[in-house]
Amino acid sequence: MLEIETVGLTKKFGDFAAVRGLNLGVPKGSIFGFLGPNGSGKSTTVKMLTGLLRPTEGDALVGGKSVLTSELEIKREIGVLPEDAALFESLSIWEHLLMCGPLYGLSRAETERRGEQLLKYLDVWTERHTYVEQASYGMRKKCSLAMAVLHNPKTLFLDEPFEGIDPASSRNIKDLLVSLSDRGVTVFLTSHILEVVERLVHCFAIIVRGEIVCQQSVEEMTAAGLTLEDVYFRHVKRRKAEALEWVG
Amino acid sequence: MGRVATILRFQWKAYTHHFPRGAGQGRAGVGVLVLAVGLFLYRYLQTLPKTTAEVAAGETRRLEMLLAGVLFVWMFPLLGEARFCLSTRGLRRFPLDARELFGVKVASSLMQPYVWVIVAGTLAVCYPLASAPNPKSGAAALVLYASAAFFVGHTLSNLLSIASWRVLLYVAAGGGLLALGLRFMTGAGAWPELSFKPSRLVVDAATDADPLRALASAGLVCAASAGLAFCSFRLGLRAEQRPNTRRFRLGLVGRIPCRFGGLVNKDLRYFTRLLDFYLGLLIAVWAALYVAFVEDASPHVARVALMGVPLFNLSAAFNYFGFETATGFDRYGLLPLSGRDVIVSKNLSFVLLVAAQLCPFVLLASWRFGPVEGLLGVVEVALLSCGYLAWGNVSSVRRPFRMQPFRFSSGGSPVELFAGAAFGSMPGVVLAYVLYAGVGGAAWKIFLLTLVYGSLYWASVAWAAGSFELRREDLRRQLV
Repeated sequence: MLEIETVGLTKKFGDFAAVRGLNLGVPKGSIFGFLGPNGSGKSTTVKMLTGLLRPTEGDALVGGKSVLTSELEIKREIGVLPEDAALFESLSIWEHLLMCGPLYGLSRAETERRGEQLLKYLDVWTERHTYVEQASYGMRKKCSLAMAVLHNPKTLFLDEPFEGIDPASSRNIKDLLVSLSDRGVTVFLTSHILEVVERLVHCFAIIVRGEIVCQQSVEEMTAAGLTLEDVYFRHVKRRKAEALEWVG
Repeated sequence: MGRVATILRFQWKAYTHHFPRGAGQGRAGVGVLVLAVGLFLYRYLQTLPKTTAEVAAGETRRLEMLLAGVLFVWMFPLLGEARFCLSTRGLRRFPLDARELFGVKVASSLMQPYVWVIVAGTLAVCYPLASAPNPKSGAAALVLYASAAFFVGHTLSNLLSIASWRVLLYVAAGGGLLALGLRFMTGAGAWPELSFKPSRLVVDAATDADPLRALASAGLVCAASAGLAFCSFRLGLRAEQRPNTRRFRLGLVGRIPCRFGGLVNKDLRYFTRLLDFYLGLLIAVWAALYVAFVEDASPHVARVALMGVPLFNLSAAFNYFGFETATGFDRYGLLPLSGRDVIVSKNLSFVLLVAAQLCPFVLLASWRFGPVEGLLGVVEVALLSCGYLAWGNVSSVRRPFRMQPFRFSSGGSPVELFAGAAFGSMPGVVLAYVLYAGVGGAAWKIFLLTLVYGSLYWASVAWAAGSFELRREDLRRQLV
């Protein structure tokens, strides 16, 4: 059963097509890796799936609901860690969580209970009163991740969740994702760290210049005796860089 | 010097790239702004020959007033400072010392076109000075005086960006203006006579038999202001380096009993970062003092004050997305909020902001003039809020623009601002007319007025909610 499904999903900015006719299927309860070089359309796809951008053509179903017609219902059931964390500068990390809980129908007491657990889990509890405008990049990411998980979503979209995160917290996040997946939560993540993705995900897709060039499960890949890096560079051409003779 | 010049070259490039995007200014807005500045300059230029004639006759009162105006006008570009693409914070990664960074900041502030108008207006004062006994030293003192004004503006701007200094400045300015208000109410005259007036230095340099003393003093004042500006800039640099944790003091989030109470609190925090709010608050306090202490206080004056205070919150009503960053704005798209929820949360913040300013005053007015006057005051504020928000819901979603915290609001189309202010103030004016012109059926008319502005408000919420959902991507782009 598919939790996320896209049919001919396209996004154009003027004449430029950032994503072209995307057809994806993500099974329920799986961890799905969405890979590709910079500017290939990963974040644009995540933004369309989470209601931040409206598709120009095509449709996407999240939990069986269309992003075109049921945007609000989808938002109630998903959690999102966007590329740039999407936080309000004038609120502290703790205030973000307190603001977020009631919007998903949680009581203040429950929000505080879950918020405290999450922030301790992500090792940011002692810095909870730091204002976002003064927080480090990693702290912002952790805050945004805590907001994404706070209401116990059915589907989790994570755009570069390990970027700027310290190794200990990174390990905790990986454990969290595995345990969420075991409990039936679907995780859709983008990352450039191929080693992490390879160990974590059940299936993956590679997008290049707005088009899917490969979509398969990790099982299929290992059965073929390949690593994720092999598959990635089979589809993404690495330009040979000229040596910088003036360095050093 | 070469490094500063390079940065300034790219600062100018970045500024000119930003300029065609309009910064919220429509073509009609720019046209009217040019027209308004032109009219002001025309009137200004008309006063110059009169001042010249007076100076030639040895009378300097008008010249002193002009110079005081110059000092005042120089504060505006710096307190409503433009957001530069190459900010001091961003430039700190480069091997530049504090003096170079200060140089970049000072020179960058001269890039804004309206600063050139102010420079031209200031230099025009040389015309009346030409008919003084010492025109050259007068002109030199004028340049020093204008430079001092410019650096004082920089000092204030720098200090306003440091939290502790900001509180001190608010307290000092608020206290000073309150004292002035009390002086005025007790009949002691509005302006106490000052023993030292900087504008007097220019007049003395232009008219005294020994202009060198005045010129030297003007030079000293200028150097001292430049020194202060530099010191305050360095203070700002150091303040940025402090540890980045602050205790949770405001503690209001989640306490407003509604689903989006947290958002309302966030917006309240944003809106109270505009200096305009504090001017409104000050007027509310003046009005409250008037109602409390003046023996023959008139309810008419109280009503005018009630109408005037919300005018200082126009930016919070007409451009309520102005403090959102593009990434913060994305959060609205991720949360399970409809367009209506977002618009209503913004409107609620505006209402709470106005209530915070006016509640004590309305209570005092009820105590002084009776509960009916108090009730009418509440109706007036509600009508005005409906009027401003009906306009603001449309303008905030149509054309938002970025605002700078701890500055006076600036930017946006002046046509829309004036039209919105007129539209929003209309119910207050009509209410005053209905109450005091002796027309019959006042209760019915007030009811009708409430119905009309209430309907306009709800229509604007419906339109803005739909438009917000459809145009979210465009709005985000406008806030970058």
